[in-house]
Amino acid sequence: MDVDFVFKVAAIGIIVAVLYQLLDRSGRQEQAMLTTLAGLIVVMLMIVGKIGDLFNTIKSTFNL
Amino acid sequence: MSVYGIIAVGLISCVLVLVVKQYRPELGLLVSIAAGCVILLAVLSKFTPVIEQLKSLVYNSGIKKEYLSIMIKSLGICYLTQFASDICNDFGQTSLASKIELCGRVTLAVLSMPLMITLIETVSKMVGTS
Repeated sequence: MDVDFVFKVAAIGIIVAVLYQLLDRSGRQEQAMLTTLAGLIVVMLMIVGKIGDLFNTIKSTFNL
Repeated sequence: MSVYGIIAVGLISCVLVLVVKQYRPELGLLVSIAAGCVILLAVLSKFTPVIEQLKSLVYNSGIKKEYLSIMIKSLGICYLTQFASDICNDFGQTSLASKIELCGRVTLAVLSMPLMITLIETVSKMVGTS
């Protein structure tokens, strides 16, 4: 059981939010947008691996 | 992982989703997907011995083993489609969610077709119409 994974994703979310606020306040809107996009892509890549794990587990458990 | 652990993970990830959603809504939803994956993975590892037990029970009782395998397969399809349609519901895409559910139903119907045919043949033999 890896609760760490959920914490990791949530931590990336919070860090991206803070970076977005910082860059937005200092007047770099486009960089803030790119930071958000990068965070989203990183998290999605992590989750895609996890979903693949889940699907493989279901496949082998239920003989699909 | 016991039930208590899974409950704790669920509650903690609820709070995390709420916190992250305030600032970045799309990342909050991804946190909820991650929590769902982790919980399901933890539960499924406990499910394997149940299926093994069921299999040995059915093998010993003389029922055809294809019937059980169809049942187990449909159970897996149910879990998968439920998982996917719940995620779509969380994202607010109810129409996509209902389409995924429809897809699951069609797959189940195709999967259980041989069983239906066997049942109908048995009944018609008993009645004597065939």
